[in-house]
Amino acid sequence: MATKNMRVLVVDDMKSMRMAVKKKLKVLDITDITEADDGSTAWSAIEDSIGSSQPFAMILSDWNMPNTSGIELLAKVRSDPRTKQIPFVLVTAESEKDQVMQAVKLGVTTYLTKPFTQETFNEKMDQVFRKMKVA
Amino acid sequence: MSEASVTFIKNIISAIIETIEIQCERKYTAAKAIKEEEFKKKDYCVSGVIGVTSEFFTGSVALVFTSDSFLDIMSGMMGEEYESIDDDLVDGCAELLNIAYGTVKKKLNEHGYKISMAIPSVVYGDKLKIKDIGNDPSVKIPFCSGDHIFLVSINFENSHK
Repeated sequence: MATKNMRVLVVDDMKSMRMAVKKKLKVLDITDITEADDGSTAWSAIEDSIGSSQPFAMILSDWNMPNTSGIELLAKVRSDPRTKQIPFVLVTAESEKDQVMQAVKLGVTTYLTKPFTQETFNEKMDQVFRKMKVA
Repeated sequence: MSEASVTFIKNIISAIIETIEIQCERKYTAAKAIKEEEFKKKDYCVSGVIGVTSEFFTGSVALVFTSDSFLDIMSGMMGEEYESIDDDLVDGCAELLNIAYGTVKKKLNEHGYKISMAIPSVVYGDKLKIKDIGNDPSVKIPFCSGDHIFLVSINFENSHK
């Protein structure tokens, strides 16, 4: 798997889950990771990164968050021409799976259902990397 | 205890153990040999509680951790070794409950259980003790991995059939 130098944004209001996602990214040698604890903070970080030498190459966001949720962040990212190409992975609870169609319509790259193993995480990342190569 | 309550209990217990195994990479098994008076004596320090409401039952599910079991499980979840418990670490308890509850809610609601959304809360501090209030049925199951122990404590109101 490529993309060792990619910069990734991990968004979750729970630090424990941000750490859990970071742990799994590090297994894939992805270490340039920025954290945000809600969609609003994430959007500020995304805007700041636009035009920088290292913009975000992927966003992994929880669905349920205070202020701006993951789905609202996805909508914002997809509606802005500067960010609409960034691969976006939504992390959902099993009970939110029914809502995934909404995310698909908005252009989510893929989604991860909690709890997830390293193997499942790797498979999802593989999907993202393949799409990145095609794009 | 109603049949619906028993189904919920079985499912929530297996979802908790599965969540810990998958997300935290820690395998805990039911310690049936430990008597209630023994595990009640332990010093617990973190507890996550979620209220459960459905047309068929009302109750609560609590995860109750000793400090060593909580540090072990959170270290597994986050990929770093932790030696003390802080606010950030404690939110992991709520997250585990959320994941397990969400899994069970989805699964059972497909069979008409109508379980409502719920938000867990977490309490932590030294020497938390477990006490049942009233005469409603309760289930307490200790889970162990080596010397580490945590409890799943489930209470249900008697009023539902």
